[in-house]
Amino acid sequence: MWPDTYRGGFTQSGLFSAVTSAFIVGVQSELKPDYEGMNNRLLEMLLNATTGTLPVGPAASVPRWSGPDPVIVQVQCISYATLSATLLVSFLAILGKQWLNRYRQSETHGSVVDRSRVRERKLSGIETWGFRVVMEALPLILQCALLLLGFALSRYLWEVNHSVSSVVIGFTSFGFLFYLSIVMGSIFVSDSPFQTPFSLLVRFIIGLAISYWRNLQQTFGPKQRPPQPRTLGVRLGSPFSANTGRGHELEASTALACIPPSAIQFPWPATPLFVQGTGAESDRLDARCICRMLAMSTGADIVTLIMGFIPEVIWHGGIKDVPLKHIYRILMECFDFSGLHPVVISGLRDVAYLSARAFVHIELQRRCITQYKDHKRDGWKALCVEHPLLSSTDHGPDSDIETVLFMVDVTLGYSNGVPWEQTQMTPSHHAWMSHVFLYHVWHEERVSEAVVDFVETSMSLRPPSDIVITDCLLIIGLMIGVPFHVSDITVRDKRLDLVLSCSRSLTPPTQP
Amino acid sequence: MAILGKVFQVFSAIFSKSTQTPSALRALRLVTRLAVKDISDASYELFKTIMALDNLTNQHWEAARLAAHGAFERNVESSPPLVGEPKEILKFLDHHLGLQDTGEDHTSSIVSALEPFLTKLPCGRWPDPLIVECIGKFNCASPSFVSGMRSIIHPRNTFDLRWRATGLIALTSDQWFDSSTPVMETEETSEFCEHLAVYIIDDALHGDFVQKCSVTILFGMLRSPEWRKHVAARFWSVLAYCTLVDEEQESFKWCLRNAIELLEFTRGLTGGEGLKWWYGTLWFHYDKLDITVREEVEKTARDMSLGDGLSDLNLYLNLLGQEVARIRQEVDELPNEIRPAGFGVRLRARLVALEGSCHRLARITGLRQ
Repeated sequence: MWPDTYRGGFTQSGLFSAVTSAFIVGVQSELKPDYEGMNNRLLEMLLNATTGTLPVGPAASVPRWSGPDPVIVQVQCISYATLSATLLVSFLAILGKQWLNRYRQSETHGSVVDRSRVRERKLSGIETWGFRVVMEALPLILQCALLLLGFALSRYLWEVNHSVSSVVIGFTSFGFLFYLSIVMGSIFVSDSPFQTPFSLLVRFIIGLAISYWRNLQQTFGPKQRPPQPRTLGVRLGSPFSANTGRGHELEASTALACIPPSAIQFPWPATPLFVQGTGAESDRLDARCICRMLAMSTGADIVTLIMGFIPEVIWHGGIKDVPLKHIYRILMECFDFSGLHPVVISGLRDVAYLSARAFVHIELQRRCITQYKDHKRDGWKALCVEHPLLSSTDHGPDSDIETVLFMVDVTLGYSNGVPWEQTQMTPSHHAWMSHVFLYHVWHEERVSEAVVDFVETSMSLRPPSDIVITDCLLIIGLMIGVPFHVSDITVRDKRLDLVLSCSRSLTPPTQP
Repeated sequence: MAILGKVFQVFSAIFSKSTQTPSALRALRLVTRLAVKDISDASYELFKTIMALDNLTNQHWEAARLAAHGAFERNVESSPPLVGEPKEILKFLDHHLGLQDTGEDHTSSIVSALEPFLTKLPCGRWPDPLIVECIGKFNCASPSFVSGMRSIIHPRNTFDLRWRATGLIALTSDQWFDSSTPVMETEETSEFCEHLAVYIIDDALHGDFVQKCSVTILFGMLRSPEWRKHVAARFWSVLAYCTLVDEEQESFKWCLRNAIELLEFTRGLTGGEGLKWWYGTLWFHYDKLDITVREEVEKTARDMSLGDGLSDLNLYLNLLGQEVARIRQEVDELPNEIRPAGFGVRLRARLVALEGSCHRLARITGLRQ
């Protein structure tokens, strides 16, 4: 879009410059003394003096130049302003071309994710620094220049000839009034197709004014009741609750939704056992990147890549846009619903698996570490009212997809059960499952049998998996009301050496 | 503090109360499925905390069972924690052995609780003196305890359970067989001895541990006039491993001091198995016998060589020869091994004593070594 803007701006400004220059050149001579007229006047005076003819009218004086006509000066000022504006547009168009060339320069180093992050940073810079406003200003300046040119032309021709000037004034006025009407219309009707930069500017100013007015009303008006505290991860019936009031409970205001997890204060002196490697700002960047790429890309390879990356991000409350609906739609598109049970369409197994993982990860994580606004939650839940049970299909030996679809059903409030001891999950998927079950338990008031079965199966693994066991221990801790920090939940890669640091150093005895 | 520490801290807090929630028990059941060293240690600490309480409820006992399972379940990845004084375990065992007669099946818990009694010290020694001392202070001859052990030894139980029970019987033999009052009725004693013989002779005698335990148990039984009457005929054959016995064991020393009495007793038994194996045992420990006993032993050897006992004498001589060869090899390997102080001296003295017994028996009977 922007390349068209600067290209159009460049062309239009060139055209305007040419017209304005021609006009300026035409009028320029009127800024100098009219020697021809003065000579004619003097010759006439000499001829009269020689012939003794008395001049008609008042006594003629020797002609002297007293400066240019003020009207001409006024017209020329406006004309030069017009010319300057068009040249400024040309200059900005040239600069814009340079900026966009740099923006479009492809990154050749790093992984796809790294390159996406670089592009996202560039895009964020463009948004932060108001690049759009600068680009939108080009046609606006040209429009102003056109108006000035029309005014200057009318004013000049008025001095020359009223009739001719009337024609120009008529068309200029008509153009101006037409422009004013479409601006007014597009200010109040956002669906109007006649949007102009000026109308957007006016609407922005009106929005600012309204918000400022409301702030003033809140400051000086009657006091409102402050938002009630809300709880996060309340665990009812916890045995620990007898000692600590409500045990595993976090009180937070509604503003908590915008606070990254690391900044959340807990009522108990729980310090995080695990520290997330990347910060909240990095997750915010990744989330924006994911949302943008999901919106722009439809290729299966790109979608697979994005879906695989989604569980790497912590979708904390500071992230505003969450592509949950988009992911759910992509997941549903991977199934054939024509039969009795939904079947994964051939060739879309990876997309289905990864999008299901992404969906469960975001949904459960957002439930835990942010506070859903009910209407938002209801909004996307309404889409899932007709949700078909995905885990009802037999997926054969592919336990990974079977269990991830089970998690989708559980997340949406449906549960079909999985015989965990018969499943053969891959280690990475098993680790992910334990992680999302941890979110599930953190949020739910009651630990379901499915979770208990999963933990029991996982704890019986020989040899035990470090990451899975750490998550299982956290789940067990939550069952009995151990006060963990929310950061302990969000960290995926938990290692056993930290888990087992409480042990004493004992010499292991031997068996007879 | 790490996760595990936090979890077990809360478990301790929960189970220190008089009432608990089912979720806590469920959570403990899940934790104790994990087979890592730290779970064993933490479970044992929790077990001790629970067992130290008075007025234990059913939920406490269930928690203790789970903790014992977590602490002592034998698996590849972890080893049981060092127990020290096992008074809590004995209390736990006493309770659960008493429940055996009520029809409640807690054999898996008993298997777990028996584990520490079978554990060798890092230096390879068994049993741990601390455990022996603690058992000495505990009344292991109480009716509930004895009844439970009798039930465990029954052939209907698993090999593993009976294997562990054998170890505990060996450790408690001083209390069981030296009791002034019988710990069982006559029929029960006879049945117990028969079940013990069935298990040990038919199934388990191939292992060093059971050989040592069974010979310890037999010496204990021989010390008691009541018990020795019920020793099953085939059980006498465990005396073939009499060299494995702890020579400081009181019942062993008593048997050697009263060897003539036992010799007379075995002569009165039908079948001759008792006499055969007891007489052989005396040749193995000839150097520790009194003069009068030695004279009786030599006289008997002469009589046997003249009569139909030549094959038995040949058996003794072969067993003695095998033992001499074994100890000689052990002496040869001494420089390559790290052993407790004085072990080498005792081993060499034992070799000299056995060689002396071997020569003496060969000389008396005229048999070739």
